[in-house]
Amino acid sequence: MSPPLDHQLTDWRNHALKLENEVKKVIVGQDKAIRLMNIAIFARGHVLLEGGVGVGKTTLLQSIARCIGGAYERIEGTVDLMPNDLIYHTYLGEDGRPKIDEGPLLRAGENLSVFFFNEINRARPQVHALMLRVMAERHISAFKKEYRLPHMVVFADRNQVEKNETFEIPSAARDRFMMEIPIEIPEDRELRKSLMFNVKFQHAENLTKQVESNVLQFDQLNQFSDTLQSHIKSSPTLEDYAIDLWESTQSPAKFGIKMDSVDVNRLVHTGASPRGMGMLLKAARVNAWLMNRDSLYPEDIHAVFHELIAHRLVFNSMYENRRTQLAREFTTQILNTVAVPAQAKAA
Amino acid sequence: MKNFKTKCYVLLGMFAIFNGAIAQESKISEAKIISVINPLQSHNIQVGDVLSRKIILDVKAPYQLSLQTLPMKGVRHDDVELSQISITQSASKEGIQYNIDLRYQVFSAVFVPSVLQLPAEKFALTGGPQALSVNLPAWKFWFSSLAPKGMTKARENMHMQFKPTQIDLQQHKNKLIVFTGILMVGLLGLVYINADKRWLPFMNGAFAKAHRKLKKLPKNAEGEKQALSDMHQAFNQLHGSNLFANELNSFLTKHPAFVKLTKEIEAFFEQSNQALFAQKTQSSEQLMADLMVLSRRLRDCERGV
Repeated sequence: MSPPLDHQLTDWRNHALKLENEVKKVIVGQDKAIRLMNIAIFARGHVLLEGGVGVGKTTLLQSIARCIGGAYERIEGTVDLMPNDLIYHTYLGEDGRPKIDEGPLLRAGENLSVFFFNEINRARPQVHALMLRVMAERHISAFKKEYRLPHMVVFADRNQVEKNETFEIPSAARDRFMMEIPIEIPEDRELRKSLMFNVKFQHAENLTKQVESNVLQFDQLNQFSDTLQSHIKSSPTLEDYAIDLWESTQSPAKFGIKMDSVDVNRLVHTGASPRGMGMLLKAARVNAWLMNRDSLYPEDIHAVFHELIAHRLVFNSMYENRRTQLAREFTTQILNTVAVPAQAKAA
Repeated sequence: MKNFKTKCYVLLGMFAIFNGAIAQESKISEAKIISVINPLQSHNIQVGDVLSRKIILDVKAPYQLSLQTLPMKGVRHDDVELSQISITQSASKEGIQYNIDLRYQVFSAVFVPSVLQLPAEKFALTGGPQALSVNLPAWKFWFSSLAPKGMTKARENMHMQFKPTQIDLQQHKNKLIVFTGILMVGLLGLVYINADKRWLPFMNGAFAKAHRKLKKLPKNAEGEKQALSDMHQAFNQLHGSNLFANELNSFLTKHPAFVKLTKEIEAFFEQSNQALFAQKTQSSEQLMADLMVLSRRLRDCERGV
């Protein structure tokens, strides 16, 4: 017999907050990213991490994977990486005969909880295709059998700065990721000083070991996520607001959205997708739950809006090379301009 | 120099005489001048004019006025002749009160304006053990001739005319201006605080508009929703973009006039979230009343009152 709903919600919330605190012990200056990744874990969404080299993405992921429990696998994106490298690898056995073993995607089976794809944009589109299919379906056929990956969350990383020998992830593929979270170098000088001079940050492996393992029960996350999603309610006013936000990504001029640097009518080619908006509300509900509420507030949507929507927007090609900056400005303008409750509808 | 000394002596002499008169008068407790009524006009007196002095004199018993020593009718001093003297008296236990009416006629024929005087008079008292008298001081006036002597320019006979002294009203004027100003400022302040209309400057602020709209809304669920919307619109307008509860600090930093209502604003956002998003049932009437009060207070902050 399962415990009462209120107890479940409180118990899981305590665990979720503990996860954040554990990760914060070893990762400094990334509180927002940690909160967003926590939200993604409970919303069962895949995450694209954006950031430079050496900002602590891998340590962050390993810490989170340790807290979630289950198996953690990782693969590096390279230009010669092929889809089969994810599924199997061949080697010569002790008897000198060739052997085939399961690749990183299949190795842990159903215990796989976190799969980290490092520098996904260095891999070829064939690899993207396979990866994105697995992300959507969470199962794959290999070795004449069905491998199920029900608890897997993919964290992929792409370096936005380097463009040589990279393959841009198409918009349809980006849409499969729930969030794109920027991992930025902390602005605070004290934090920077700590990162430079505190010797505990020199050994990432030892650092990760300080994080308590198995804070969450990874194999129960799917079930609890469903419970959580049905528990958090949204009012008609908030639903109208969410619709307005969606429409504003498609027809910004209709909502009076203006940008200093570009004409918004020329900027946006395609706005957010229905799947994207569904994911937005899913993530917002998790935020409401973490804030100990049972109703969605606009602030819950704002907490995840940029990370949920920015990478889904398709800009006209002339603006693509300024995507990061323009997407941030655009989503900020949407939140600043679209009113809640909408004036016309309130009357 | 000699002339100056002479003048000084004359002045000193006059002073001594005047002092003596006062001293003598003050010595006599048996008689007292109650009042002296001199002519109303002391200038522009011309030849033939009759001037009168009325004296009321109290004489205590057993003294009485010596009627034999009264100034003689027809006596002339410096072209001023006593033309009539009349006395009435009324007796009482303490003594006798005399009403003395002296009438003088001016006979001066000088051609230039000059100072003349109704002469000083002395009233002797009898009937008592001592020989006492009461002195009436002289009364000076300006004599004007009917015509100047010979054919001269009028200017030569002109004397400086002094403008009559006016009562100083400046202090009252200043007070009137100050109090009128205070009254106007007070009235404007009252209008500014209480008026809902937009005909004064700075009256058309976001919260003033919201307050006006709120007053017209029905006190039901629909009105409540519209009221919340109007309030949010006012906050958004002032903030320059949508304002949510988590941005209140930056709002208050930008608009310190509202800092004193921080708790009320936070409570409003919580109430609004409850009503619009959590769908918690609340009394619309109460909420509307609260919003009316808040919008009015926010409007006052906006106007800086």
